[in-house]
Amino acid sequence: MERLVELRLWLFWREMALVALLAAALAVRYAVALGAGHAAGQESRSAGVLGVLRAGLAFLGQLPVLAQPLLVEGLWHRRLRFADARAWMGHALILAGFLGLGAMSALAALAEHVFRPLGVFSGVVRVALNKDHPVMALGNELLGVALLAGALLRWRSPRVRLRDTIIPGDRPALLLLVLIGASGYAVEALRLLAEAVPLRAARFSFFGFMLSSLLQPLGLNWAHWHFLAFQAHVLAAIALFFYLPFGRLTHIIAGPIVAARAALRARPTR
Amino acid sequence: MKGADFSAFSPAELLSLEACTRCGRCVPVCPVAVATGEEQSTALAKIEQLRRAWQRQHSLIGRLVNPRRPPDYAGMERAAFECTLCGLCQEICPLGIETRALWLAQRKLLHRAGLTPLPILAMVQAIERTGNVAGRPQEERLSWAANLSRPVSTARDPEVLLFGGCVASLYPQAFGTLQALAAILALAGVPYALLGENELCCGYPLITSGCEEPAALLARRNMELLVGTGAKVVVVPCPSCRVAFQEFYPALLGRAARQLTFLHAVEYFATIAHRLFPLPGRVELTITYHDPCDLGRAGGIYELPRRLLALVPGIQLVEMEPNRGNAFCCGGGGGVEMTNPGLSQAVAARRLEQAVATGAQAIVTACPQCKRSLSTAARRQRVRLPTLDLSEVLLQALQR
Ligand code: SF4
Ligand code: SF4
Repeated sequence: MERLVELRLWLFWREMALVALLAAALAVRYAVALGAGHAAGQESRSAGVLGVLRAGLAFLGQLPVLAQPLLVEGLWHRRLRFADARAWMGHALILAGFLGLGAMSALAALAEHVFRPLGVFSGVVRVALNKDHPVMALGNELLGVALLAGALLRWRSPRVRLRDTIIPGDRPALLLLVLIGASGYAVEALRLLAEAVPLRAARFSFFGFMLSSLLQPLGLNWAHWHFLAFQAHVLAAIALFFYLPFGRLTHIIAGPIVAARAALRARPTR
Repeated sequence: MKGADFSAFSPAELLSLEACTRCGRCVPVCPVAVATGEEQSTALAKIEQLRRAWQRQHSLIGRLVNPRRPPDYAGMERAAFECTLCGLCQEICPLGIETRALWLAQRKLLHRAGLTPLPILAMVQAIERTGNVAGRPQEERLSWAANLSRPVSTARDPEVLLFGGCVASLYPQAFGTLQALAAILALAGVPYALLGENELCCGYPLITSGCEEPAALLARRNMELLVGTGAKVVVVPCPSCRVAFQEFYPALLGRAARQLTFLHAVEYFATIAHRLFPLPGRVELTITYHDPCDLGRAGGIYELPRRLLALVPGIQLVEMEPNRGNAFCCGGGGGVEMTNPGLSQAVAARRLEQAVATGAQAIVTACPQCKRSLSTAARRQRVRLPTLDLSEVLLQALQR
């Protein structure tokens, strides 16, 4: 059991480092592509890449001014809320679930690797590293529900059919989101079983607990299964990440920037 | 094989191709799709086409899979030039993607690839040859002023310069706009001047066709002429000229373009309201106001013309559906009149139907091109619904 936990963490951090490296490479490659596109036909290609760097710096310089439209248009999707309440709800749930779960994982990582070694924020460390603490357990459960509900709401979002082109819906992305959410519950259920968490502590992970109650009669090696479920969970997240540039999901990165910029440039009417 | 030249797109514009969520909201509102059922010119279809072309050329996968694949322009030319540049897609887009800028960049891309449609090229050549979009002798620029009861002003030290624009100066259907505007300035005691036969096209049709070089030449010459008159304010009856002066000239000429103040007639009327109102006469008319795309969506001016009309005694305004930011286009923009006259007429016919449905006795607008399109549509449909310029309504109330 101890060795499996160690192996799980060892693998996890290496996977994360690899993802971060690949993500950085992709981001640089994307900036170069934007630059090359912008510079093609001009005298020098470096002019285009410089153009992108300049635009990026200008964007960063405007961040304080952009913060409000970025929040209101980019994350809150103000315009979408008026245009299509159902689509907005789906977006909001996915975004809240995804960002919330990401934030909780980041908090746990911070507590483990920064706060605890430094001996600061002992209260936060106590809560963040205790998966059975009501705040962590309920938070993870509810955010998981939001993610799944959002993905299911968007599942029915129809593909757009134009006369000459069919623009497909992005079901692979939604499927990956559902996989991330569902595997998260499996991980939690198997953790409860592997660690033999007592009912009193486990009850806040309501879905995880229900699932663990269903699985318990199987009497499997729960530590092994937990290890496997965790790997599946991480792989689903990594797959979603690398699927990003190929489906409709690119808009989750480009969309907020474009929406915030448009809001900033909008002139008052008279 | 040389790829498509995407340098006309700024990094932000390229990014917005990726930002499109393909939600399809822009499809059912696009006047081209509404009028014809054809969707290849809608924002979604054009963005998809551009994004695929760009990705094929510049994305990692695109370059790995087929580095020598030629750019795919199939259908792009038709889609690009059968768009009225009305900006409705931009208004409706939940992300606020600046689609108009995308369409202009797309036209530039096509021009550089030698794919500008022939009727547009003919228009560009006409402007280069004659200095006006109609390709007529420049001496005709003052035809609208012939036989006026009040001769046009030739003030030596003008307060404003009245820039007529090609459509109002050279197309008889729109002469009334300039005639009324000149008469109002005279009645209000505003010393104004005209460039007459020296006036050149503002360059808007060139820029919106993707032909930037000749537009820059025209812009430079126009600015020299305008500054030379000594006037500080330039008044235009045409919202597209306003867009050219206010939006395109600074991009083409930099600070030199900011030496003068450019105002559309309705903006100028607001600045001289104390000289115009209260109006002595009445105009007993139920009207509906058509928002010109370049004044409304591009210029953000919706309420000003309505407020001016509300000050005309006797005028009853009934709104068309849709109006303001969602107003339907008259079909006269984007060069569609040249590339596909049938489409332009179909769009105009739709707008006319919406006007007829209000029960109004006249359409009032603030754009000579909208006036032409809607008047032509009424004539073709045998509908008795005249289209007037706001200046003509104001003049009627000023004269009575
Ligand atoms: S600008 Fe107007 S005509 Fe062109 S795609 Fe957008 S809505 Fe359609
Ligand atoms: S409305 Fe905007 S985001 Fe939706 S398909 Fe059209 S351009 Fe794309």
